[in-house]
Amino acid sequence: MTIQVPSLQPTPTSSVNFTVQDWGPVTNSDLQHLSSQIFQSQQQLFNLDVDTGSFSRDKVKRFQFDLYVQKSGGSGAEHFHLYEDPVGVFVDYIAPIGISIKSAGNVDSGSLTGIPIHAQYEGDVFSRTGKGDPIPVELGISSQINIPIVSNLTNLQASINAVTISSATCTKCWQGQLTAAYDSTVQPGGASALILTVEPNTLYALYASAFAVDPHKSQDILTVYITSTPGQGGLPSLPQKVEIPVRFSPSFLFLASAVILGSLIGFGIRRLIPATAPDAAAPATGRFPRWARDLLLSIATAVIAEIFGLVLFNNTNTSVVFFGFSLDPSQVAPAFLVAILVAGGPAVVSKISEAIKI
Amino acid sequence: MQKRLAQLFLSSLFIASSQLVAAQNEALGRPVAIDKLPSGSLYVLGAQGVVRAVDFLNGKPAITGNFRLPSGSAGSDIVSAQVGGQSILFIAVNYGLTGQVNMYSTTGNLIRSWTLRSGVAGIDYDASDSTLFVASGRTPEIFRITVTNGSQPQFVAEASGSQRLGPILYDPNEQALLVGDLVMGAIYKVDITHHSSSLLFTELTSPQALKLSPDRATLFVADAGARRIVSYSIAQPKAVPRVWKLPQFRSPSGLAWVDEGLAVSDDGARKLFFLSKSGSLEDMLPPER
Repeated sequence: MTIQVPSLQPTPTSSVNFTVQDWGPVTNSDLQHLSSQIFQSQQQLFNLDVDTGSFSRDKVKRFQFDLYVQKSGGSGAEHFHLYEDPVGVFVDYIAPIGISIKSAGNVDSGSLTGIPIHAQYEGDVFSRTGKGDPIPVELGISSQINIPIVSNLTNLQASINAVTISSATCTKCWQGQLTAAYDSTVQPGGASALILTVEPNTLYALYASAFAVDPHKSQDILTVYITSTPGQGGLPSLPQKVEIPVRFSPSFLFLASAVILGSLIGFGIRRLIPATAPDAAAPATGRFPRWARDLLLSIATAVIAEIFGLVLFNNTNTSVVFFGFSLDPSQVAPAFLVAILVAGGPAVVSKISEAIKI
Repeated sequence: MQKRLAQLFLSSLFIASSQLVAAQNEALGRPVAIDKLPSGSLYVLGAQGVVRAVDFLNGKPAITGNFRLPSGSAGSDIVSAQVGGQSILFIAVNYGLTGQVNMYSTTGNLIRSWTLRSGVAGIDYDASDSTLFVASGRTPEIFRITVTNGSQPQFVAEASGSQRLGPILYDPNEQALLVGDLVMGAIYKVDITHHSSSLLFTELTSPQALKLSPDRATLFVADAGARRIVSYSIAQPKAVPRVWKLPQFRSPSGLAWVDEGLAVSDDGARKLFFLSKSGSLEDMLPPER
């Protein structure tokens, strides 16, 4: 008796060949101990008995299983051992495999369903769902980031073995260990989530965010490596890389400090710039000296501008333009700059514009 | 008094013989590789990570000891050697995609370990140079490990065109490596000095183990797919090979010389077969029911 198993092509660039070894005849009593999944050939000349208990790896990690082919109505069976030899990258799946059988002039064919097809080089087992926009991480506290993922294994379970996290661009921006919590088993095609616990190192994070004022750009990228194993004899995947862009969000206290400091500096610079004639001639009125009124006005204007900017930014998620500068008012450095420009007024803006030739 | 002594002697004999029968009938698991030093036990590596020692007791093979490898490891190959006057076992295992070559005492104490990121398919040891040769599991690469100086695996050569490397054997006469390809059914000869490789023998199905005869004139190959042992003349590679085929063979997986005969482990039959010089079956473990 001989059998042939044609190759499979999981993707246009990958294939799985089957090596068949004939391990000789076995008796009916040998068949009684199997975890059998029995199929019939098309012309019902043969019974095809797949031993699902034999799904395993050989010494060089090839996926292998036993198939017993029995003539209908006959006694005993021929024992075949099948190896999968995958080539290329694909994700594991369960598929039917075709089989042709020749025995003593009889030719028949059949299909074995429910056979795990395992890659040697696993494709991406998980995909990140949702938008890829930078995720806000609040400064000064430990917080959790929820990363929704979905399994790309359509009919096999996936077990997550390990998740490691590292910073791609600013390792000093984080304190403590970056850790992740996750469900260790993900159902076929199922959704799951990685819950990252992170705590920014405030000073380094402020420094990193000072030069990344564009609200759409990340200030650091957390690289998450997921090692997983597909079910039914799959090999552990090489760590799959998932990149999580993050932006640091300062707390109210940080923003308020930046605005007040910025408005003080802006006011100071304005005082240092020689006054134009109409300003100099303006008479001092009211209970407060003129400089005090100017200072209070500068701070109030800067605070209002910041609040207005935050409202606009949070509602439209677009950058806010102050005196021609595109800035994210929810960040410390832009809030500081906004306060300088607003408190300093047109005199300071024109001086800065002249200096950097905008 | 004499009657009591006789009773004691008979009961001791009964216990000893029943233990011997139990040792002879003990299941082997799935033996994937075997090796033996001329003076030591025959060591059998099981697929599930159990190493068993087999010795001849009253002329019959029996399991005389065993130890278990760390869980999660899948046995790939085993080599026994003398290192610094001590009997040592080098055991190749795979953990998922990563391979490891571990150096054990014969009682199962781990001495040293080397990691190979692309897995391990086969190993062999050159005692004259204290060097281990390692066939990679997922790439056509061959590595060298100098055991005495604590070095990490170093790339030696590549078996060009190979699809999946299997067993590896160092031939001291030719100063070359012979490497089997499990998918192509071929044996490559790898020149260590010139880092080149060429096809030496083809028309095999799935070479699982390689062994040179004690005079190093003949290469024996366990050809699992065809359930046979094939022997080639090294001096005349074009000569027609000799074939030993037993009806009990299912998937020959390992070869070792035991006295003047050849021991064959069989992964599919879950047995050890002991063949004479001429290839006839002399014994097996566990014995046939």
